Amino acid sequence: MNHQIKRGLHLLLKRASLFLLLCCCVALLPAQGQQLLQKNVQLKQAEGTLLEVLQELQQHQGVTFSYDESILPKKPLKFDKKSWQLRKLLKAIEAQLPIEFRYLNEQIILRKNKKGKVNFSGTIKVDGEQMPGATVYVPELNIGSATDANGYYSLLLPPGRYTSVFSFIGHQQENRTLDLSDDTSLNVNLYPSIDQLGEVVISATQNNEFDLLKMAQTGVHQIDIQQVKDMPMFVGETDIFKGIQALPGIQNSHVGTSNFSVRGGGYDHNLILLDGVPIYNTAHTLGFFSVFNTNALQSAQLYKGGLPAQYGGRLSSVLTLTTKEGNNEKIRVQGGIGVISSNLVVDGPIGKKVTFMVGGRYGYPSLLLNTINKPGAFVAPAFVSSTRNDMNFVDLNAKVKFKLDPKNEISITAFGSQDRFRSQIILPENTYDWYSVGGVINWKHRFNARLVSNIKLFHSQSHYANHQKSNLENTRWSNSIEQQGLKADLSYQFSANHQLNFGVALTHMHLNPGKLETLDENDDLVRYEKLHTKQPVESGIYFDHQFSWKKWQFNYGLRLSSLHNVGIGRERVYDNDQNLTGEKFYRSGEVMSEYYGWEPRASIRYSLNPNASLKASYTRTYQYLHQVGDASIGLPTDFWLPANRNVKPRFADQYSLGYFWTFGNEATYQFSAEAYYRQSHRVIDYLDNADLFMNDAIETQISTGDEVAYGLELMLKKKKGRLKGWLGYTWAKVERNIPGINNNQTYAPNYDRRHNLSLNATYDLGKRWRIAANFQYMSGAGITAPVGEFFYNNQLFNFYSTRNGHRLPDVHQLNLSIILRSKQQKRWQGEWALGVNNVYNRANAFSLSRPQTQIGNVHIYRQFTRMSLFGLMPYISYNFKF
Amino acid sequence: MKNLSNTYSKTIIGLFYIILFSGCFTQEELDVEFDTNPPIVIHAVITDQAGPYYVHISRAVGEVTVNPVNFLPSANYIPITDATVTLSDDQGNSDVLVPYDQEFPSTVPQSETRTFAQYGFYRTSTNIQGAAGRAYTLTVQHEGKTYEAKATMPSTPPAITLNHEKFIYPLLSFNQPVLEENYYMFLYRDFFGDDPSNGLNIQNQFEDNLWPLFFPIFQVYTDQFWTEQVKDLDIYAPNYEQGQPIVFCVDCPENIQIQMHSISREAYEFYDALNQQTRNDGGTFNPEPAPPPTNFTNGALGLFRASSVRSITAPVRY
Repeated sequence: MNHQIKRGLHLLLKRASLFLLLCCCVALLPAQGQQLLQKNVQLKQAEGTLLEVLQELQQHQGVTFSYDESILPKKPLKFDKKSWQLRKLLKAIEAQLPIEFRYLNEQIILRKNKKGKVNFSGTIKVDGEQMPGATVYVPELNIGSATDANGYYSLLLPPGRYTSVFSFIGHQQENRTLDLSDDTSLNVNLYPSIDQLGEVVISATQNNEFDLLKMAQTGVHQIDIQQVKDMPMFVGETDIFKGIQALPGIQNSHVGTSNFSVRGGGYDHNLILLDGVPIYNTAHTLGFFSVFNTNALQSAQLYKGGLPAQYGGRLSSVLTLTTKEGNNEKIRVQGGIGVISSNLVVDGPIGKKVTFMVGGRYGYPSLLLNTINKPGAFVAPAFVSSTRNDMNFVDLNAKVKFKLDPKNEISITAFGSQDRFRSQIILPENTYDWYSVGGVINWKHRFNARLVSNIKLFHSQSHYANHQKSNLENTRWSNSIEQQGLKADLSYQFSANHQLNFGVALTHMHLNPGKLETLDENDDLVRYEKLHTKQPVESGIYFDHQFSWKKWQFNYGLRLSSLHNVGIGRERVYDNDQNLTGEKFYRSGEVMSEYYGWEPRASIRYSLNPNASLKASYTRTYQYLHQVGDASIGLPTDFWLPANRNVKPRFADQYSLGYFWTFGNEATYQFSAEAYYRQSHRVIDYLDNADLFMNDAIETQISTGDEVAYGLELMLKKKKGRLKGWLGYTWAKVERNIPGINNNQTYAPNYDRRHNLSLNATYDLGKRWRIAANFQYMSGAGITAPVGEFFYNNQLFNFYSTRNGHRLPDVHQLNLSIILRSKQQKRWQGEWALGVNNVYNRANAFSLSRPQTQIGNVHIYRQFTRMSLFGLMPYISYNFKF
Repeated sequence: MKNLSNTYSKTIIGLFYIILFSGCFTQEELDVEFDTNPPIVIHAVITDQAGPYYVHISRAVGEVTVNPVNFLPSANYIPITDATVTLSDDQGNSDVLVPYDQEFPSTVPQSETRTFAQYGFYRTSTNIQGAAGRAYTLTVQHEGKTYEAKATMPSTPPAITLNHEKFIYPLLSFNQPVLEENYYMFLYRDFFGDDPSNGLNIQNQFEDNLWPLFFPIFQVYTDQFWTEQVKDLDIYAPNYEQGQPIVFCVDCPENIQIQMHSISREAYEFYDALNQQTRNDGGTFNPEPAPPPTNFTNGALGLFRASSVRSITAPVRY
């Protein structure tokens, strides 16, 4: 029954498209031919080639055709009846073949149809899963495309005979011959390459071979998750953010932590989206690991240059992470056991139309800590031995996808992460708890082959609490951010080289910048204090037009973004000399302040030859939220505030140029060079000795000014063969000028490093062994150094250099790992990873300070202390899949 | 009740990592180029107690050598002994301070019989008297440069009641106005018998308006998170519960003198910055380090503070 309905629907569709084609062709047949064309003709057979049909009509029906036999398609024609009016028959033929008929001087001229385009679409499955980022390429036309997030591809091609090449990393290329005369749907399954059979390809997405060359955007990285997993990382804990840090143009002030600065932008200038949900708190264990479980991720893309118009709200970059989708063949389980965390991911089909994926990770840094800190254990001096630390984290990812019918698809993603941190030695009375949750319902609807819509309804929330319980008090300090949003993105494809994207986004936020309360009913000392919550509404509307013309591709768009601060609320009013003159109160629902930003985006690509292209782009971005926190590395205590009367929204203009070149056999090597220049306005930094704790007037602790960042990024990537990996180099510079900071002199943020070199490679030693290496060299980070001391109240205190006026020594480090796969088995596939971080035990400076040593109550002896975390450290981990 | 903003700071968490990865971190001496033109440091306090008042002026240096016995600077210390120091108020009174030519008390060990003047101390020469609500200006002229600071003395701190129940040192309770911003600083010294100078700490060795310049703990508070009734505030670093064997003293002090100073917001921020600095790890888990704020002009470091004082003496209970 179901099947019949489907078939009926299919026929209806086919007829509808025929009807459209007919409408187009009517005009081509001039009126003089009416008489001849009205004639009724009788076919002998309801099928046959065009030549057979024409010959029959000429010989038996007296209709004269003029044609060149060599252009006649060989494809057999099928008719649903034998008796036809000639006009209708010709249209039926036109509908089936890429030809057109013209009536001239009592004869009908036949020629190749030049205008018509047919839609060539379908899905590409990789190991049974519909995979985004797989590619289809038509060499004859030099046209290609990649599958979208749901594994669909679609190309508009002129009718004709072509070859089409389907490919995906680590999988055998699939070549199909096409004889396109009508909209054609082709679903392709790709299988692992023979030389990689048995490899634990858990989930791999990689640079699309054609993308970088063909797409107009500059500064885009498709992050190869498998490669990130192979990278030898600290305690073997795979972290997507640390993979990102190895890319050119990405910097970080404290090596080993997971924050990242993109092209000189601040840590809060990056929009991090998980299936479209903005995630605000991305740190586990105070910033040393990120909250994303790589086994539950399918793909990751970082836009650092030309930002697509559909994204907005941050100055520097957008990182889009896609949760892994369940495969539709069988239930699969994969997992890993490591030094500080273990994870498990299950995915598979539920019936024919539903797939699911559930993944979880549990981290136990305190287990390691408590073990090595046992009294008498080798590491800890006896006086610091502590075995009752509590530092754990957990994160969960889930995705369910319903394929309702070929046109409708709904997927639901859920994400959660939670941390608990309590140290027995340091502030044992304090417990730090923080969590993030997010969810999205995504409805994808294909109106037709050209128009696709994607509607997302999402919720995201982060919460932090510090619970302090001692003899004398029992208090809690907390902050949170919560948001709900709706985003609709539509794309309309006019043809293979002509596409329009447009959409809207609306987000409502509820920000609680701080709350201090006592948990002890009898305690009347601490006043319940809550900073004013903020309820901003951020919205955006955009369009983006892409088209190609000869060797050029153009991509231009415009985004209009806005922020409305909505009451209840109050805003402080300052005079021109920054003196507080009063406060303005707003009723519930009243608009307190509103800001609008025009964000033009444009990129151009010019193909020098099939293997090389030049690109240029311009991007303007607005950012309406800023993160407030006093630690350089970013902590869960950081909270978010919207722009308001006293802190205007930031905006930036970025210009970039790029050269892209692929070479070698089958485009094995990929080289890119990109240069960028960005001017940011009203960037925020903290004044000296800023006090951010429960401060309702943050504007008095910060200042805003201008920032200029520029640099050159080089990247050489080898994508095939036994040796794979990339070499990246960045030369970068950031300068800020903010009144009131550093005596109004220009200075650089601490993550500003002039030279960055990163080498990441894997080498296959036979079928079971693989070596991975990662080498990093960077200029030292900037620090505000203690350059002298003074005597005060019989104690010594530091005075400091200009802000970030000194540099730490250069950083370099080599990490190695060796991966051993289990023998080829049908079900269970295991993988051991043995690694060493910092192989030659380089003492890289993490920070420099000159702390006072306390004798009794007197701070006195002092010593420059260079902290170097993460010396030589081995690890072992085990991953499995069945 | 402790100082919330201090204990809530994430500062010390950084140390966690030192311990977690103690197998793989190193601490070493490092050469950092010192500032070749270090600033002048001025430390001045005027109170509503009877004068004279003192000012201490020195120059910051790369590295001071400290006498480990009395914690006084022993080498590489540059006192400023030839400055012209003037204290004036908004009533037209003015006082040119004179070098304080008194020798260090003999009870300060190894003080090498130097005078306060040799350490850079000055003393008021007239009977200028501080009072709450008045504005004061301190001017220091040295080597052709003039450094000036203004301070207004906040109102007198509230009356204090003491709780002797649980701890050795009494906890403090007082009522304070909620509607205005108030900042307080606490100082204390325990001693034997009735004479505050008869004690073991360095702050016992100096006379009344001088010992606050030697008190090594900056107990500064904001009333931002307090209710009107502040109850059982523990201002001591540290305090101990009664009835426990005290191993730190054989012959223990019997009384304690407690001073509550009202301070201005800028004074609070200055001391708070110094407190934060002692815990700063170089700007990893806490903000970029910075020199403390100052109310002096022309690039001088330090603070000129005007405070109204409430003083109370109480027994220590073991």
